[in-house]
Amino acid sequence: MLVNAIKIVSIMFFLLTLSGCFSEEKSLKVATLQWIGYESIYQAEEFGWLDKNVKLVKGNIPSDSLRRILSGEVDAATMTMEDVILARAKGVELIIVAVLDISAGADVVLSKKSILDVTQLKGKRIGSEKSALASLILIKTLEKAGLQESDVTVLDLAPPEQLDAWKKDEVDVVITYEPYASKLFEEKANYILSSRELPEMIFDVLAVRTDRIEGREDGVKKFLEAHFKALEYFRQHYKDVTYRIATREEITPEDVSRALGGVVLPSKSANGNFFDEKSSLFKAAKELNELMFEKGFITKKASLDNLLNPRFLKD
Amino acid sequence: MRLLLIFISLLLGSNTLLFAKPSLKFGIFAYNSKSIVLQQYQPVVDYLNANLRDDKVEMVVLGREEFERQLQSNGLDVITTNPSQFEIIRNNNMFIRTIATTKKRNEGILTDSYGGVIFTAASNDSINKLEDLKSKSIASMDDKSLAAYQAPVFEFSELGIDVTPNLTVMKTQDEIIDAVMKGKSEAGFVRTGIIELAVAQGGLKLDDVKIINSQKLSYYPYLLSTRLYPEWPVAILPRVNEKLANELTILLLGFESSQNKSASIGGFTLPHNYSSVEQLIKSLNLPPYHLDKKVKLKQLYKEYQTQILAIFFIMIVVFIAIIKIMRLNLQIHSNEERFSLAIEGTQDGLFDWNMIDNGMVHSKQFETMLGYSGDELPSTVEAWDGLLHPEDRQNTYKVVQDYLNTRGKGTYVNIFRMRAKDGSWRWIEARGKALFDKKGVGTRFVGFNTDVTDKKESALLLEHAAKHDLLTNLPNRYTLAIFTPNILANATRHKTHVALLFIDLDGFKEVNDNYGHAAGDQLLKEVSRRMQELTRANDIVARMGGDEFVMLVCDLNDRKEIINFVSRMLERISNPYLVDNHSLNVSASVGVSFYPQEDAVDGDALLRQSDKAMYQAKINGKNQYFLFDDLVNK
Repeated sequence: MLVNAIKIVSIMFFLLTLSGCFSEEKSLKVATLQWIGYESIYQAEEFGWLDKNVKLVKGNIPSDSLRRILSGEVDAATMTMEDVILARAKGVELIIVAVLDISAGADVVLSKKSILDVTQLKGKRIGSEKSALASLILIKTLEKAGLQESDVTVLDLAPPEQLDAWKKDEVDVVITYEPYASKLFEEKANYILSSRELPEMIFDVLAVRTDRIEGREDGVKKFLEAHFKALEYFRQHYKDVTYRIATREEITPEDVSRALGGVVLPSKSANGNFFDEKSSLFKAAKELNELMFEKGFITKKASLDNLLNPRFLKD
Repeated sequence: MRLLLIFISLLLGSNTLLFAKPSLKFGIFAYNSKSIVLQQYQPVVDYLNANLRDDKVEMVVLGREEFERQLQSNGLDVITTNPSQFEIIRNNNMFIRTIATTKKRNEGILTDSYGGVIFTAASNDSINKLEDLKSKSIASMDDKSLAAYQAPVFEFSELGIDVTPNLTVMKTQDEIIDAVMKGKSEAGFVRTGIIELAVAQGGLKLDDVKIINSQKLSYYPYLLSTRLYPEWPVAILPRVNEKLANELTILLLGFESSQNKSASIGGFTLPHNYSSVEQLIKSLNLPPYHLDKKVKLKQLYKEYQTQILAIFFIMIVVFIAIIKIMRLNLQIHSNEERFSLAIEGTQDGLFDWNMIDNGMVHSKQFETMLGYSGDELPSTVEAWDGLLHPEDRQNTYKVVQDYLNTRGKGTYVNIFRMRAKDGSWRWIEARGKALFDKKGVGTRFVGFNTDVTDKKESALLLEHAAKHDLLTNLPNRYTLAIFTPNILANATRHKTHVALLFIDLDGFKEVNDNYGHAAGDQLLKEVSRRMQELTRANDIVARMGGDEFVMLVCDLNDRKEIINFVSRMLERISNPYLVDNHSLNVSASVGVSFYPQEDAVDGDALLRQSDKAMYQAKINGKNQYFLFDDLVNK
């Protein structure tokens, strides 16, 4: 009789655990790159907090991530809102599952010493990455100066290549971000515009291909858990983290502090505020969609249906 | 007067002496040998004394116990100690205020963070990573030291290793280096900067030590094995007035060391967030948070009361359900046991007829009843039907149907024959009960089969005996009376004639007298046999008693046919009988009456008529017949 009871109980437990055993989890490949807003992910990796099912595919520039997610080489990517719209306009449906950072000064326009403000940009050589984000900043910068794109020479220069061009005096102005900005400051660069002047416009998000979500829900959830755990570590171990980021990005702890000051890193609970159609996130998506179409970065507007999905933020 | 003045001046002088402000006590925790600590902080104290407007600072370097005792007796005004001890102090002194975080300098680089160094002798080949220290002896400070205990222990705990049983607690960090270098301990935990200081003092060569879990942070000026935590806080106790507290804070933040020695105080910065230290201590369950676990449980309960109660409730329900199932199982088991014992005990066969799919299950006893092994018969109604005696089939099904028509209100008792394996027929009595659905249609029929062959056969024998003459096995008078009306009715229907022959033996009494009753009985048997041989299927021969017989001869188209028949019979009867080697002779006198007659007659009338006719035959000389018709006609 006791045996029978044990049997009953063990069958119950078996059934309880069965649901978890049936769905086989596929590995989640996430494209990312070195950027102050994504340091939490690098930190989580360094501390071994990433699930073994999560594989990071690291690139050097944002367009690496875009290329990889478009080709299907990865299932998800840490990317800018602009790239999400670009992908959607090309017919690859991505959904945004979390906001990783909001640029509030980390994206900057830097100039040689002779150029003190935007009004002096006419006829200058501007080095910029061929990305939607850089294009957007360029547009906003030129708008501020009352200039057309034809008034300047735009050079295709990704941030890692800018320092070299800067030293060789091949460029007058660059559109860049940390940690490359800090290196240019060391070269006595002038700061003429930052994303602080484009409030709640530049969002970096974790985007997942809709066609790859099935079977990877747990991976996405665990990826975000590790990210938020790292953010909490940042909050409590600020000094330790500045040294660690400094080591990874090869800049000084002071530069790290400045870079961290240029982004807002929303916690899990703060993330909750971005996921409805009245949020600044969705507003920015709509605005960027219009602007990018108007300026010809996309040939047709992206569908913004089901763009935001907060379910992975829930416990 | 002069004396008075002198007195007053003396008084005033002594007053100034009496009311001279006591200097501020700056308590510094002796994390290392007192002389080293004094040497490190002397420039800070000198700076303060040179810049404070009205106050002086006195440096007191104290060991842990002394430090705590002084704090309790309000003997200190400003303190600096490691953040872990400060967490304890902060817990006991609510109003203590952190005013700055210390900056240290090494080789020109300032840092306001520190951590632990895990090291071993460079010559030790067996230790290269944290895991290698699992069961090695390690020299450390006590558990209130952040850098030389807590921070390294935490790194191990992240790997799931509890290293605390391996630790030997030392009094100073120099002793730790000494223990490791002299091989008393295999490894040591020290604060960042201590090794560099020992090297600077010439007691140690950098090449002699090996750093485990080295963090290799680009801009951090010291060897490091753990995460970084904010450097020592400087705090002011509440009885120092605000003006002086502000002045001290401003002075400290403005201090910049001119020294560039290893581990020297480089300066002070705005107080850091010490929550990482709080987290560290909590995760290691050490003072002042070692009692927090109980509180946590309480908080947990407060926060998740409904969920916890729900889980508890579900667990109770599941538990009760399990107990009930167990009991039910026990009950079913014992019922089943009792039931099967009962079935085995009765030798009765159980049947269970599923009337929906027509399956029929029989217990083993049913099969053994019919001589089968127990699992030979298929569980179908067809198999059962196949064994049913063809003569009983119609009636058996009728009884079943009649019972079903009562919808269970009647009782079901059925008797039928079934073929046993050896080909013999067994009488089976079935009793049972059916279950009905809402529409009154039978769904299941359960009951017992009992082998009643013995009972049935003795009953049949009795019945036979009642109807037959025991000696000759011929139907008796009673049976004749039952059959006669049918035979007569048949004759009327088919327009045939029936002759009733009353036969009385002649000379039988003599046989009995001369040869005994046994011989007489033998003779009677033989007479019966001869008479039966003459009759046809539908005719009846009955023994009325003694030597009297009656024969009903049916299907006569003409009454004359009987003349031949009776003549042949008389001849047969009068032939000699061989009984016990004796040749015996008897004859018969026969009276004949016919049916139908002009007047309506029944069997009794016919019997009376033929009796009379027989009597006439006796009178006429025996061994002959006489027709009642002739008697009437006379």
